[in-house]
Amino acid sequence: MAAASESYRPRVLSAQFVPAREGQVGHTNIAVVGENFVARAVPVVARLGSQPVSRLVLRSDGRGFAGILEQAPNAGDRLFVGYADAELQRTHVVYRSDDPGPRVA
Amino acid sequence: MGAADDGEGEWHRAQGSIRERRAADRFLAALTGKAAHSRRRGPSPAARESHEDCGCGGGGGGASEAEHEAAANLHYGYAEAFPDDAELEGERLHELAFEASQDEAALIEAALAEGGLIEAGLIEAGPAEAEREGESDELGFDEAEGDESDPHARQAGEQEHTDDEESEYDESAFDRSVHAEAEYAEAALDEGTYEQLGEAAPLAHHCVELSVFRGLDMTVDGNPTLVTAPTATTPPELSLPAPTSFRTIAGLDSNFATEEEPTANPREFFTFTRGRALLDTGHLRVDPGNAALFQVRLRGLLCHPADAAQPQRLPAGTERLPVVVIVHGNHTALDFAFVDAGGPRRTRTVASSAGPVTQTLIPGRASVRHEVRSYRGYRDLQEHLASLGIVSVSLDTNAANEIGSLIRFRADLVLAMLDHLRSLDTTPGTTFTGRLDLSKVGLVGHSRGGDAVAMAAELNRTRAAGTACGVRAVVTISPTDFTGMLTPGSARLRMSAATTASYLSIYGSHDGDVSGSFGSLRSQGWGFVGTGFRHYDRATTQRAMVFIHGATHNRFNQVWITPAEHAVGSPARRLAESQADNFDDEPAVDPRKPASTAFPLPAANRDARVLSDAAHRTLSREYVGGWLELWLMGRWAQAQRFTGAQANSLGTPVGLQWKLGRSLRTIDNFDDANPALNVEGGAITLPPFVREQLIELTDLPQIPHNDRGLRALPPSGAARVYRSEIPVTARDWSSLNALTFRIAKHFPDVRTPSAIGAAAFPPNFEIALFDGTHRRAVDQTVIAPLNPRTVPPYHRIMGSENLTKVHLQTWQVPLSRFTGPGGVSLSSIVAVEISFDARAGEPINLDTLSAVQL
Repeated sequence: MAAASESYRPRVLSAQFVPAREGQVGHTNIAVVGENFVARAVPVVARLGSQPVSRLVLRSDGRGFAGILEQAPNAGDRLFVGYADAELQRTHVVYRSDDPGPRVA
Repeated sequence: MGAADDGEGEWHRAQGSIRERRAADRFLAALTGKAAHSRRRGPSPAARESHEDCGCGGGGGGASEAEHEAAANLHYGYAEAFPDDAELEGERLHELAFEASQDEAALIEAALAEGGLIEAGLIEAGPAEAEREGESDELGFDEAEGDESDPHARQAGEQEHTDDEESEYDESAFDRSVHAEAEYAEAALDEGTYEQLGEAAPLAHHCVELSVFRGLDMTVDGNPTLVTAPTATTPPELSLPAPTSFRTIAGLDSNFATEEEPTANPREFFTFTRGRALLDTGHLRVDPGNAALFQVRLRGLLCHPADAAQPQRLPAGTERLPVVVIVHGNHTALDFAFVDAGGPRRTRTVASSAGPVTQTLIPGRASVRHEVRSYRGYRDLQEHLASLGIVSVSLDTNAANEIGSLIRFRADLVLAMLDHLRSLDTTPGTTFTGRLDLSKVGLVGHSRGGDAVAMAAELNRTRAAGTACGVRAVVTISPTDFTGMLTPGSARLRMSAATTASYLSIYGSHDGDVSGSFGSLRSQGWGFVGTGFRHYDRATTQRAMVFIHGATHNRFNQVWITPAEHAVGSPARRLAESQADNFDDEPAVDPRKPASTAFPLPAANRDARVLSDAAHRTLSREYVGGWLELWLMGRWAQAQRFTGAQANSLGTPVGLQWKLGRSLRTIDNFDDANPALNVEGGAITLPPFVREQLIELTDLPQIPHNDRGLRALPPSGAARVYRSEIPVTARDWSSLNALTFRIAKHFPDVRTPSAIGAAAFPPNFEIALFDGTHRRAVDQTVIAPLNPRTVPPYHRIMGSENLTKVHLQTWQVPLSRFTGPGGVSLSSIVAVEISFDARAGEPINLDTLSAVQL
């Protein structure tokens, strides 16, 4: 039972960056897929580079969260995630400006 | 982790408990000057020491390189990269939907059988249902199951259960408690300070579900930002931008990120926003009077005293009943399922390791697959309040939880519920017409609900007459403190007499969520989430704080610790399962605790000192219920629970701080920046080794306060006495009967319970009153036995962090100790003098010097 996949530590598997729709607040939507994001009294917080992720909402199944980047992210910005009462954890997610990004038709 | 490891871990925990008990015994002996009685046995000291610093924890997990690589490849569209998982996800979704449908059918049947429509109305959870819900019952009531119970029978059963679970420690604590209580009761009677703590005959009670809609802004919070970086000796200062509020339907989409939910087809995704999902599921509805706006559902469990023969009615009479609103905290709330909402589909092309892939985005309409009804988690307390004659509503704030609200939206929901209760009182023909006393309101908040009720009380203060309520009590249980580190003079929540007549803070030593631990966050806004200690420090109204040894965070809410209340397979359910087995609080989610990284949790994570859920209920009734009884019902005898004159029924050790009295006079709170004058305007003489300063964890990481006070270092120089002069107009103390102050000392070593127990306590000091002619002093050898419930610092290690709490505790000295032959005259007190004699490395902290009438 004590497999690593059942760890309670929040873990980030991937992140998706999508430009905000017209009329939507902020510059970019970020959706993070991971595991063990639990709704606690102490909030989950995240930042991409030095920019905080705002309006962060958790999935109830613990498999990630979504939020808004108010400003355009910079290439090379790394995602840090954690609870507000502990050091944020460095993740492998780095924003790349050369990504084609989703092309929505 | 193998069985041998588990056994060793368990042994280690047990020895830690024994060491702590011994330390407590030594502490008590030092306090009372008597040898502590103990019947316990333990391993040899050598055996204990060999495990003193045992790690006994498991290793951490972490994503493998392969997982990282795979994750990096799916920068867009995780279902594409993990097609098998996506399929499983789809299967699982259908499976859960089926399970939910079975539950829903049962709920509908039960609701219809009881004639209640609201619960059933929630199940379909569409806007049409929400509207029908609002129309079906304008007062919003639905019967709750198990409406009546015999509180005596229930309490007796729980007591028996609790007794079974108590350890040797509690047995010893009970011995000490009985001994100390008898001693103190005798002293109290001698001083004539207290009446006996009596029990009123309990009333029958009845509980109903309540659900109505109100026009109310939704508010989303900004992120705190660092204004002033902390230094080695000063805490940080933060700012919290003004929240954003809106009430338009369009705002539900524009104010939240667009989320995606995989479907059974790995190339198709439902899209939604959290605001829109709340509308879909009936937590919001379209305003019937304006289709561009929404209304917010106010839902809760209402419990009231009842007529024994007709439980749906209030007891016969015309008297108005006090009102309490209870607010839960942040917790897993809604698990959504989605169907095609029928809107326009979009396609997108994403990169994948197999080349470009086209995906379809489908506007999704949410329904509730599972909901955790946190508001039902305080029913025991509510029934207790009803038995006292108090009407309470436990408010649902799941909508706030879904949008990640810190404080404001929750506070607005509290005010909206108070408005609804007022309408029940003023609307002719309701059960409560003319029977609710909105001038006697208590607000109780747990976790983020604690911050919320504090803010609600503040907002209430500024409301117009006729809308504002009379808040007599604000009670926070394990509260977050999101405002304590905001820049001074800004929006720090502070419970003043203008806000509420009284404030109570309840906090547990094993609160693993609001732990007061800030680790190495110095560069990231360290101190953002404070605890109930800081709320208490800032309060200026009549107040108390109960630091309960062994209490956790989640166990104050019965739903949160019940696995069946949570969705199968969810992290919250696994967390609840761990709670049900006497584990430490939130071990599973705290990344600092090494043994918390796997499930099931290893035995090393157990802590025998953690109180049972039954004990939490009992203590909640006694302390939360007692405080509300004191301030809403005017039963002053309940004050004894908070001054230490009366122990709790379990003999659970608690650290008490309080500033209470039928009459109060603050001599000095040391909060201003002028050390030359006290609060009353009298001159202060400070010897060079005593100064006013911030008492904060910068001094010692185990100090949970953030408040100015006196700090006394070892004496030096000729001047030895701190003197606070009383102005002429304030010298008549003849109506007062006790001198009170908060005091603590630094412990030179808090690494182990043994080290704490070995440290000298109480600190050496002497306090004197001077009436211009006579001076009479008493020292710690007299004062300590008068305050026998003083507890040692609670030792607790979590991971690599020492979460021991070295906190202030309030002591009292009956003024009669200063009078008598050769003593002072209470009608002409000229000065209070304190002589500190701190040891090197063990400074003494003192705060909130007051004279009171108990």
